[in-house]
Amino acid sequence: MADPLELAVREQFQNPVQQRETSMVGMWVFLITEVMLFGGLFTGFAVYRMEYPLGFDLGSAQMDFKMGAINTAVLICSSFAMALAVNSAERGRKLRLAGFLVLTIVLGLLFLGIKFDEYYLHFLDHKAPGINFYQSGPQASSIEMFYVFYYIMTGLHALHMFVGIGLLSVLLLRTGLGSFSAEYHTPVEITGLYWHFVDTVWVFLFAIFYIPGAHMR
Amino acid sequence: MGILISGFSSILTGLNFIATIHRMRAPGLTWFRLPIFIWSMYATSVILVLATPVLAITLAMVAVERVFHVGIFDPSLGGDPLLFQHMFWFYSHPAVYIMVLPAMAVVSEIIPTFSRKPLFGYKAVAFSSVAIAVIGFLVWGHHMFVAGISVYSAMAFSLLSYAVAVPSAIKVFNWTATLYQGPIELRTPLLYAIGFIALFTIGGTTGLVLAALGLDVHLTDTYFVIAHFHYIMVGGAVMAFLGGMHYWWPKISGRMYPETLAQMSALTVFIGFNLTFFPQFVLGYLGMPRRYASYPPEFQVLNVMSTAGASILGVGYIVPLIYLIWSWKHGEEAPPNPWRTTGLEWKTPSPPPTHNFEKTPLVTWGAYDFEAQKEELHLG
Repeated sequence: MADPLELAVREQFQNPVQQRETSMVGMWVFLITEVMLFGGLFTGFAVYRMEYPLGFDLGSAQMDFKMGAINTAVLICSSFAMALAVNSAERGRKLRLAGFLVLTIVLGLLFLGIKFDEYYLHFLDHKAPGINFYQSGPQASSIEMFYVFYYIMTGLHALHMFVGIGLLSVLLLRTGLGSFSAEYHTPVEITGLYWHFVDTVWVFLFAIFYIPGAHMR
Repeated sequence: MGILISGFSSILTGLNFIATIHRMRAPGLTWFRLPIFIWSMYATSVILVLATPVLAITLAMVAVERVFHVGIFDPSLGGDPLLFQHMFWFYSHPAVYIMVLPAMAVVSEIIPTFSRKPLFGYKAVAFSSVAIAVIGFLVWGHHMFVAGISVYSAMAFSLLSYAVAVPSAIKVFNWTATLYQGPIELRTPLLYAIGFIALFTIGGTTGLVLAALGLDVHLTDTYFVIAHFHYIMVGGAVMAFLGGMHYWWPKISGRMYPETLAQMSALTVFIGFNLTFFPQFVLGYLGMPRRYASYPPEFQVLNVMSTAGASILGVGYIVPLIYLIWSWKHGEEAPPNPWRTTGLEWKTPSPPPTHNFEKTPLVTWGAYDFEAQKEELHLG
């Protein structure tokens, strides 16, 4: 029978170490592109926050601070679960790996559930620009701008969460099939990097959307 | 949507190059033994991964604005069109370096090969690629001198645009120094490479004219700009593309192209190109704006010259297309190393086998080290 370690090395690589290092570099570079992607939105947000400071504050005051804070906690816990999953993979503990992957996925889904509940409440409140937006007062249009950025940025983040949950499910499946071992678990590691990145983005989103108006409620 | 998909493919290409260059070099192939081609592709990839996501998100925002009719960039809805210009040019200026850096890469390979000398100032050329990638990110504002940005930021962008010319000039000087007193062999790829140096130099120096804040206000949106970027993009990038195509054609197809015909068409391209675009510098300076079909009678002669040049240029492009396709089947069989040069790709059969090398090579020599491979390459 072929050495299982050999099987994991694709033909373009010399050895498993090189394969692992190349994958890690690839994921880090990909995360840099993600920083630039979100960076464009953060830049736009900053420009308009400078241009319409009052409207953006009023918009932020309409956010549900509690739901946002709970979601932040949920996501940080899921990152912790992911870190434990990577740790279990390194030690070759497959059952624990599967368990922590399931926990990460469940917490990710919980985050999305709370997020979409928030969207739904905003929708009922006539706060969906382009669909049913209604706001009275002189700051109406800049509050609408705030919501536009809110939906684009949190929406893009939610999309990344869906992708992450998809990746985690594949990992879970492959764990079940016995693809990972203490020697080979690079996919778990690089998916972990991705998951922590998505988590970090949320922390920034929480800071710019929920915190500025929290004292005005 | 289409742009998002091709943008994603650009990002992944850049990512692939970076990871490969960092982690998968052949044993013994240290950073300073890499061919300049790789250095330039590395710089190109850095631009690809940093700039393309910004274009992607800008377009996503435009799409949201259009579909939901909400204000992001549209001033009538409270948006800021200048922000769109900033974000667009933050990608689109580095994008021209995405096109010209690989061209410089090709030229840096061709010139040492046909002058049988190591590239003059290897490290300077290598680092100038990286410098172009870095400074290239800081000059986007020179597209917006008349768009309503502040005088001070325009001055900063003007100065930085001058700065980005320095690494390009370093390359041009080093290429000419490499050619100097070499046993030059005027094969088709070298003809294209020399054409590149000439046209790129004209394109680059007219770029400095445009980077000058005061002059740019006069020349914005005239044919001068058109001529300038065609000298870089066509005179530069396309010439180098054709040069690279001929240089690596034996490796790609395993066949030689017809040399005399190729040299003639290289000359045709050079003449046709200059006849097309040089009159446009004059037209632009005299004040002919771009994007107009008609013009006053005194511009007639120069416009007709330009049209005639375009026809010659067209012939120059079609002929290589025909003979390259022909040679794919009927060309003379190519040896592994028809140019007797040093790069790794020439140490494997033409075309290369599926795994590129039967055995992963061990690299013990620097790029363009003709002295070290003198006997192997039968150089007298």
